[in-house]
Amino acid sequence: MESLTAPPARAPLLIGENLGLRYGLHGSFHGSSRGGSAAQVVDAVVGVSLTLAEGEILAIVGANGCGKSSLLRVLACLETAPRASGRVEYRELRASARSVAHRLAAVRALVPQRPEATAAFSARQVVRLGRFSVGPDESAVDRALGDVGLLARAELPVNTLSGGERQRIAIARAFAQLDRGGVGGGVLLLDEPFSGIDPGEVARIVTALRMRARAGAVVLTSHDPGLARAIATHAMVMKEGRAIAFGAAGEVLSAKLLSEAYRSPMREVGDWIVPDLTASQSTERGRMRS
Amino acid sequence: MSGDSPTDGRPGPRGSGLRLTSHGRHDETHDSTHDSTHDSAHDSADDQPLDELELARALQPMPVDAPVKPARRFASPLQQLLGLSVSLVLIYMIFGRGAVTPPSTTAVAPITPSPRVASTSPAISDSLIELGLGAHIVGRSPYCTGVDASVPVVGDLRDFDAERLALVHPDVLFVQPPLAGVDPALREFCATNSIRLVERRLDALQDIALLADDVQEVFGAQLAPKLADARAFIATNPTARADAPRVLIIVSADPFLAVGRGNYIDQLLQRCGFINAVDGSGWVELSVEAIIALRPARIVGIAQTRATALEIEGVIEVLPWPNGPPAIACDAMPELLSPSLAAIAKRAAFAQLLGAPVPTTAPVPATSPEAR
Amino acid sequence: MRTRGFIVLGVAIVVCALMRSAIGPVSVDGTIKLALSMPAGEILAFRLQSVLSAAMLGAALGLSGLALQSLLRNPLASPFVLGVSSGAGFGVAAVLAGAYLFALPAVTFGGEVGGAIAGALITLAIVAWLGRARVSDGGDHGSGASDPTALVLSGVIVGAIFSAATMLLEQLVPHGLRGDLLSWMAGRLPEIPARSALATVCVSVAVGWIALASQAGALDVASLSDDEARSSGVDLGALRRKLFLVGGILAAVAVAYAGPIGFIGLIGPHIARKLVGSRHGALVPASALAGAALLVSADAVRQWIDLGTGRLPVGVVTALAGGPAFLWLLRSGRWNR
Repeated sequence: MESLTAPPARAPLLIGENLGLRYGLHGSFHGSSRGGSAAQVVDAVVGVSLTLAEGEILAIVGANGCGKSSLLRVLACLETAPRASGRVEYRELRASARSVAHRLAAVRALVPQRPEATAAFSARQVVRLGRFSVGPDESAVDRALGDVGLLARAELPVNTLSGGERQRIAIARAFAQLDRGGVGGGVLLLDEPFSGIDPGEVARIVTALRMRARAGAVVLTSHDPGLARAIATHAMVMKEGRAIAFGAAGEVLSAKLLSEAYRSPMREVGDWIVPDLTASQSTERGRMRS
Repeated sequence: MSGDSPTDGRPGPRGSGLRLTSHGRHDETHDSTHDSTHDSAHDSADDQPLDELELARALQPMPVDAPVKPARRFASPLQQLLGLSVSLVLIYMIFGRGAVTPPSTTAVAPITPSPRVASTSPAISDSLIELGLGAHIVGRSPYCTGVDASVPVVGDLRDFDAERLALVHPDVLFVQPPLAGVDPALREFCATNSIRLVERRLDALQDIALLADDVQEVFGAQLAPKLADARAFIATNPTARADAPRVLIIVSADPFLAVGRGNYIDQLLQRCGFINAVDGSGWVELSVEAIIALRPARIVGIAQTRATALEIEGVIEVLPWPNGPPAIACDAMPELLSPSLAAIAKRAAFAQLLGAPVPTTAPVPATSPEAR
Repeated sequence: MRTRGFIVLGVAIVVCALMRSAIGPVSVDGTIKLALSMPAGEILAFRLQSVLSAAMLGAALGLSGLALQSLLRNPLASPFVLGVSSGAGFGVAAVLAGAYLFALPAVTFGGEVGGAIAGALITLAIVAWLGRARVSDGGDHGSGASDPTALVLSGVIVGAIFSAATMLLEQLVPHGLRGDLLSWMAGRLPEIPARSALATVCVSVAVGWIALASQAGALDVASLSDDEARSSGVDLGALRRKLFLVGGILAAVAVAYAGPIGFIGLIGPHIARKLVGSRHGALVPASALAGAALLVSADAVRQWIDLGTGRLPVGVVTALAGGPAFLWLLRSGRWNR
C-alpha cells in the first residue's frame, strides 16, 4: 500500500484506521464469534486505513465483491462490533446529549447502492427526510433538489420516477442532510452514485459534489475507473477486501494497478481506462487458428 | 494529503476547478445546476468563478420551469355518484320520518301470565314446558326448540342480548351457568333491571331436583304435586350390583359419542340396574376399536330423531364384532338428551329400551335383570 | 388534502355512531321489531357505550395494524394476517385451559390479557423472523426489508398452527369450557363490558397512540432502506422494538377483550393512507379514527342482521366484508399508492 506524502495542514475530516469487516455466510454471526471453519467466514474488508481532508473526493474502485460497499458502510459507522473492527474518527463530531446516531447524521451521509422508498412520498418529502436529525430547512431541500436537477419534478410521487431519478433523489437527500445554511460540509459517502444515471445528468451531479466537497469531503465507489479518475482527487484500489493502492487519483488509477485489481488487462485511452479488448481479441484469433 | 498543485483536481480558493469534457482537458468548473433549461453538456457562458456562482444562485428564484404537478386522482364520476347516493340514503334513513323497518318474525305474546320468565337454557325450558308452564316463557335461546318460535331469542348459554332482554322484561331469568360461572355483566344487568336471576348447573339428577325446587319457588307451592313424582324418584339412590350387565349408551354415530359416568343419564342407567361400560366422565368419544374392546352386554342408542337412531343402529351392527354384535336397541328420545324434568318423565321408555323393568321408587331387587 | 381527509374521517365516525345508535330492537305493539330510529334515555346511553367500546377496539386494531406495517415495511401486514390474533387467542386459551387443568383459581381479565400479550409477541417474533428478506449474495445486509410474500405466508401458516394448538387445548378441557373457548374465538364485542376491561383498552389505545405519534418523524424516515434510515440518524433498533411492542400489545389487548377480529388492522391504515397521505404525523391519528369507524360500522351491520339465533359475532361481519376488500386491494395493487 502506498503511503501518504506530506501530512495535511489541518486534522483530517475523516480517519479510518485498520478497518475490517467480517461475517459468516448465510448472514449469521456464528461463523465469526465461534471461530468456525474458514469456509463459513467472509472477510469483506481487511486492514484498510485512510484519511480524508477537506475538499477531497476519494474514489474507491475495484472488482465486484472486493469490499467497496462494505468499506463504505464501515466508514459510515453502520456496522458495529463484532463484525466491524478498527477505528473511525470524524473530526466534526461534537459531544452532545443527543444520541450517537443523531450526532453522526450531522457529519456524514450515506447513499447506498440501492436506495428504497417504500412509502408513497413525493420526491420533495423524501429529500426532506434527510433533515430528520439536523432540523427542518426548506431552502436546503430546495438547493438539494436543484443540485440534482429534479426541482421541477419535486412534487411527483417518488415511486413514479425512474430508477435514475430515484437515485438522484437519494443523493439529494444526502445533500439536504449535510447542508449547513447553504454551505456544504461533512462527509458524503456514495455507493455507486452514477449507476443508472444517464451521462447528461452526471456532470450536474459532479458539479454539485464538488461544490459541497469544498467544505467537506466525498467518498464514492465506482465501477468505472475512467469516471473515477475524472472526478476524484484521490483514489483507493481494493482487491479482495484489502486496499492495494491509495493516493492521488492520477497516480493510483493507472492501467497497471487496475489490471491487477480487476484481474483483466486494462489500458488507457486518453483520460479513460478501459478493458483491453485487443489482448483478448488476439487470444481468440490464436485459438481459432489452432 | 498530496500537494497543492491546481492540476490534481482540488478546486482552488478562487474557483479554478475542473470541467468534465470528453477531451480530457481541465478547465474551469461548469455549473449547470442553476439554469435547468440548458443542456448540461452545453458549453454555455456559465464559466463563472464559484463564489459568484453561489451568489447568483441565491439571488435567483429557484424553479424556472413550472413544477410538474402529479396527476390528481379524484374519484371517478361513478364513484362520486355512488358515494353521494349512499350518503343521501343514510341521511334520509336517520332523520326521515317513517323509518325503514326490516321484516321481523319475532313477537312477544301480548298477554302473558305472571310471572314472566325467560330461559337461556334448553333444558330448563324443556322442564318448564313439561310442567305446563310454557305460556309464561317470554324469552328463549335459539336452541329451545320446545318453545314457540315466535318467542324472541334473548341469548344462549354463553351470551345474552341485553336490549332484547330488556324489551321482554321478564320477572325471572333462568340460566344454566358455564363452568366459569355466570357472566358478571349479566348479573349486573339483572340487578339493574330488577330481574331475578336463577342459575342452576344441570349435570346430575340431584341438580334436576334442585331445579324443581327453584321452579316451585318461582311459581308457587301449587306445583308441588306435579313435582312429587320426580322428586321421589330422584331421592332414591340405588346402586347397581357389581355384576350388573355393562351397557354402552351412544348418542352419535360418527364420531362415536358415548355417555360417560356421573351425569344424569348414567344415574338413570344405574337406577335401572345397569353399569356404564364407559369409564370417563362427561361425553366420551370412542373409536370403533374402543367400542369393540369394551365388549358391552348391550348397546343403546338415543338420538334426536328416529332416522338418526336407525342410522346409529345400522352403523353399530356392521362394526367388526369378533363374536357378533351384542344386543342393540336404538330409538329417538330427544327429551332424554337434555337434563330436564322431561327426561325424568321419559324414564319408563328409557328402561324399555334397556330391556329392564321400569325403575320405581322402591330399591332395585337383588336378582339380576333378564337382559343378557 | 390532509384536512379534507380528517374531515371525511370525522364525518364517517359520526355517521357510523349514529347508525349504530339508531339500529336496534324496539317494542312495537307488543312485538319486537328491528327499527332504525334514535332511542332516548337509558337505551341511548347503553348503545353509545357500545359505540365507545367498538370505537376504542377499532382504534386499537387500526394503530396495531399501522405499527406492524411500519415495522415490517409492508402495507399488507396486519394483526390478523400475520397470525398475531391467533397467537394471542392461543395465549388466552392456554391461560384458561391451564387454570382449569391445574385447578387454579378463576382467571381474571388481567390474566387473559397477560396470556394474550405473551402469545401475540411470540407469534410476531416468529413471523417477523420467518418473513425477513432473503439475501442471496450474503454481502448486502443493508436493506432490512421483509419479503412480502414470505411474510404473509408465514403469518397464515403460523396463525393456522396456533389455531390448531388452540383446538388441541379445547380437547383437553371438558365440553363446557370447550364451548366457551369456541364461542370466544368467533370474535364478539362484549355488550356490557367490564369497567376494568374497557379501561384497559382505552389506556392501551392512548399509550399506543402517543408512542407512535411521538415517533412520527422517525417512522417516516424508516420507510427508506435500513442504511438510509440509519444514516439519517434514526435508531432503527430502538424504533423497531417500540413498534414491535406497540403493535403486539395493542393486538393482544384487542384479542383479550373481544376475541380475534380480522381485517380492521389491515384496511384501517390503508383507508387512512388514502385520505391523509403517508406521513405518519397524520397517519397515526387517521389510522385510529379509520379503525374506529370501520368497527363501529361493522357493529351496526351486525345489529341489523337478525338471524333469530342470537347476536351474530362481529368477527363474522368483518371477515365477510374485510376478506373481499383485502382481495381487492391485492388485485388492484393499490396498497402502495
